[in-house]
Amino acid sequence: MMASTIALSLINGVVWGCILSMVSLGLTLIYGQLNIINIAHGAMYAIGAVVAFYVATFLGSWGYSLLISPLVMAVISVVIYVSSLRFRVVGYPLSVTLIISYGVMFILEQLTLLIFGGAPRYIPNPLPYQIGFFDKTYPVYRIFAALFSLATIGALLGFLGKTKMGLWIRATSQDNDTASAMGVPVPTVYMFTFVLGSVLAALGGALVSPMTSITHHMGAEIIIDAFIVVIVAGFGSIPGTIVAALILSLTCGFFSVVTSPVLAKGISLGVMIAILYWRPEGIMRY
Amino acid sequence: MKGGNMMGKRKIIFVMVLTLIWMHLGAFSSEAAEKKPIRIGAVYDLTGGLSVYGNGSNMTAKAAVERINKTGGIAGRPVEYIVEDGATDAATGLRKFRKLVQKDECDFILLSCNSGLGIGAAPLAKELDTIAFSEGTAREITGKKGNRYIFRQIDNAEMAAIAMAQFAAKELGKSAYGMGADYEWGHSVVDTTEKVFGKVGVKMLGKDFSPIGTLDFVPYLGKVPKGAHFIVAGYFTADVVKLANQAWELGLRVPIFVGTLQSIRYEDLGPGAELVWCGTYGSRSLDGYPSDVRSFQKAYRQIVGLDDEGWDRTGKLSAEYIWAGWEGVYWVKKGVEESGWTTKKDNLKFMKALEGARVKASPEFPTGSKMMRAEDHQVIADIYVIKGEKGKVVTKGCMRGEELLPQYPPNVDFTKEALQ
Repeated sequence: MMASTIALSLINGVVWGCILSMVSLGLTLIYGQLNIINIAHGAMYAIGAVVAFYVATFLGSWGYSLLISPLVMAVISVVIYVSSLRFRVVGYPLSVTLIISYGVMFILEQLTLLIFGGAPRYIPNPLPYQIGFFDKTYPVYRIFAALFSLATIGALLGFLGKTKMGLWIRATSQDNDTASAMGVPVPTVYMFTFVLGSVLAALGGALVSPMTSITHHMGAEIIIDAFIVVIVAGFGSIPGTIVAALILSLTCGFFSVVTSPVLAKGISLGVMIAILYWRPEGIMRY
Repeated sequence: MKGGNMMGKRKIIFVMVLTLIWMHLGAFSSEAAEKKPIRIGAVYDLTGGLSVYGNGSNMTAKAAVERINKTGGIAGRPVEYIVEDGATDAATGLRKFRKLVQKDECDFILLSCNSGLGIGAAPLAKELDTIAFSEGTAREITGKKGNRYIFRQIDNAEMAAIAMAQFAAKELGKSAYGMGADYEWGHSVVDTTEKVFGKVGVKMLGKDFSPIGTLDFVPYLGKVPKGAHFIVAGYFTADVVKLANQAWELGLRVPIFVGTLQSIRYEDLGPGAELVWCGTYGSRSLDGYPSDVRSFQKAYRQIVGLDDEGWDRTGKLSAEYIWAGWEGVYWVKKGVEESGWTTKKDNLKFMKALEGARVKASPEFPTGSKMMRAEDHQVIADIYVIKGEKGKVVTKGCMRGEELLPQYPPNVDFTKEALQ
């Protein structure tokens, strides 16, 4: 019983680690490129899930939301960037963009509450099957969600490594003045990165929507973990983000079984603090 | 000598004039107090996880105040209503409580269903000499953590467990596993259910409390022992939906007894909706009320805009909990009118008037006849058992207040508490 429960928690930890990596990568990209700590990332995740709910309700299939939620968020994030962040990114102290993103978070959350209401909603599981192991069963959809997250991360790495825009993003991230002198359209790169990071949050929300309850404030459940992951990973480090997300999810899952859930959360955060003590710059630098 | 007499007379006249002025001012201020509006402040959670309760109670409290003002006010005085957002956070709620009293000069405060706020408000209410009505349902709000300034116009988690106990052994099984949010209310639901269900032979095989805002219950559901016939869950709103669906996903096909189903639709409980039970404070559907209450409930629903199935005009708020805002305002009215309360100096008279007060089912008290028990300021009212069935949330039973009373003795006596 105990062994199977631990195995279940570890599998579940890997699944959540993959999803958390994808959501955290959005934060990492935005911070690494624009030096913006995007507090609104959780609200964007919630909007992704809410859009998925409407897609599943009105189009009859949740699957479309994996395309529509990111598209809706792309539009919203362009509006946010152009209206609030465009002229306040470079040369401004971190606190300015922090306050802006905090305000954006409130606006997005309250608009979602106004439209969606405060009651939690549910999307029927699109893959309502279970696989058995030992004396337990595990939902197939969760395994799909983990694989989809990994595929998305892989696609993102490919995009950053193999495309012209990916090269521009990396170049601007390292030295925006030199990149600009070399003809890289830095303002466009900034906006694109912000949109890309926001889209990852919305995609995470859409992906998680059949696994949890959908509410206007559901972003609060994941955003703190995402920030912890980004800090422990090393700001801007993509491989570090994946490793940190897995460590956080696995320790929390494992200790939830062998001790109380509250203590487990404390232990997992303790592990993250220990990592930071050991490597103050984060797990990986790049 | 003569001059000395004159001085003495002048002093006497001066003192008399001062006394007359003082008496006149006193009468004037008393007259002014009688005409001054009574201010009812409310700390409701308009945003955050409890917003489905806060917005609902705000809606019904506002409707009650409008109705009272149209019919002559409270003791002839108009009523002003000021609401603040507690944001589902006890610390924020306490700050708003202080603001409503010190800045807005509210005379009475209605508190949200956030039990953390209900408990934290007790010492603050005493400090600010302001009577408050809490909608939180953790037992201790009207127990050892309460005081004479706090009244509760709604039943509590232990009373819900007592109502559910009649179904427990027959419908749910003989062994349970407890899960709850790790704060006052979550513990209250699980611990009081364990105590109450124990009396009908139900054994709790274990219990676990998770942090508020838990992302995923799967690791905790994995710990539910095979022998558990049902789960007792001290969670609300989004967590209930999450728990019911994740339990089903994991292949757990056992009933779940939850702390609340406020504004949760049958379809959002997922494929396991029929397994979800709840002990609650009102019926969602009109036909779930006993016949002697139904006509009053219908009148109230028409005024505040709830349909017979228990949904508001937006279709987002359900009926079973949110009447507490409405009845809270009418408890203030009853207390003021029966005690002759004019200002806070009459708070003790107000308390004494409500201690042991009984009300009959009426449009003002549309959930039925009830008593505000003197010792612990806990209302003793009818309580309902609801569950998912045939596509909707239906009422399976109602325990009347008089049946509940002997099973739920007070554990404090506030009537002996002297005011500062």
